[in-house]
Amino acid sequence: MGAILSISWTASIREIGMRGYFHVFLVVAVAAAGLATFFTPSRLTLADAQPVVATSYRKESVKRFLQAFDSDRTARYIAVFYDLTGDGKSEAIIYLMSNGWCGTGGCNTLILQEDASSWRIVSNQTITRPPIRVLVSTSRGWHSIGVWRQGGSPEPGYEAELRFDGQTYRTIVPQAKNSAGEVVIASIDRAIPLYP
Amino acid sequence: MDCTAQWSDEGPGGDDCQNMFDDGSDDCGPLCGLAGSQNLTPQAEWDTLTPTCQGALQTAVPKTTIGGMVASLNRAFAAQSTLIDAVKGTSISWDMLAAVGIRESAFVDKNENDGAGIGVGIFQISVPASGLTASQAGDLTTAASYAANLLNSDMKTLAAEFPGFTSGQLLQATAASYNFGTTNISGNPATIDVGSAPYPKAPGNYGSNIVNLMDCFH
Repeated sequence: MGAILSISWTASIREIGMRGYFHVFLVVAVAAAGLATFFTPSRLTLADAQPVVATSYRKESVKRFLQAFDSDRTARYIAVFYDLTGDGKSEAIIYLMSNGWCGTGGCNTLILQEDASSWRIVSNQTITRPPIRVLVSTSRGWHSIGVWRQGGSPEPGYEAELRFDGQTYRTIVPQAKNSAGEVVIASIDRAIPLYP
Repeated sequence: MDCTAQWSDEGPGGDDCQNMFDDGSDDCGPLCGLAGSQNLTPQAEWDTLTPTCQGALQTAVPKTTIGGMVASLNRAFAAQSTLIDAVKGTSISWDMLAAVGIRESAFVDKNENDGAGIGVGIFQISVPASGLTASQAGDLTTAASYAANLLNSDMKTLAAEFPGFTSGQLLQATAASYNFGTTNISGNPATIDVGSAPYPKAPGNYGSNIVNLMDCFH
């Protein structure tokens, strides 16, 4: 099918005067890429997005990024590396704890994406608590995230769903209570100091 | 409410209120001691509150009856002397502390278990992250002192970082920081509460709600 497409596209190109093997190659490549995109499942599964064992380099890279982000020497954090997009590259899910980021509503959860040799903040969510889950459901190619929200009112807590909108994660109401997913940060027990 | 004339042994200036607590506070409500205030129904007591206070209570303790909201206010009044002691040496007022207690727990001593630790007591202090034990966080005197000092520290931080804040804005920001930290305050007076509870169920309102709750104690 890709070959048929390339032949007819090539013929069209010839008709407008563009010739040469390079153009043939280009058209075949574009057609193949289009087909690959067409047949890619739109709904990822957790099998596509597994926790990634991060190298010490990536761990250090995230730590350096967070140190630039928060100068509080008492800060602690939990970093989990997870391929949220199914592209083979893991994103980082961070639970950041310090006096500045925390209150009775919990602390901030950051979603980071690798950007050249550093990271960029895709999302910075306030008043979140563990357990933090990666959900099976996806939005715009990114797995949704479940975070616990409780505190700051006598009302009971609930799990909120963070859904990717193409640029960042936004909280969706109602809660993600019964959504399938995997706990990636269960508690703050494994938090480590951000500074030596 | 049990304010009866039998407590008139307090003498002139006494508030005719039963004192059930060792801390010198009484268990009476905002009308305690006023002529004719005895044996008021919760509705009657509610009707004496300002619209600002009523609205703030409805926001702070939603899905609660008028009796429940009045009761939370009266529990805070009952702890007044303890709260006054707790704020000594700080820039925090006792009514701010009372308002935080209502917002956090309806001024009820309770424990809140979750993955980030345990929120303990009237001020929902995180254990062990705060450095307090559950027993300390559940003790009103210790917890009130901790909360007052935390708010005082936050107020200093925010005042230094945002010198352009008015006193009202600084108060709101300090209150909001109790819920989501000082770093989440951007410095824009219009967005002080953005990101605080009860977000995302509704726009954040923590700081402004505390300020409005303080009206109940004036």
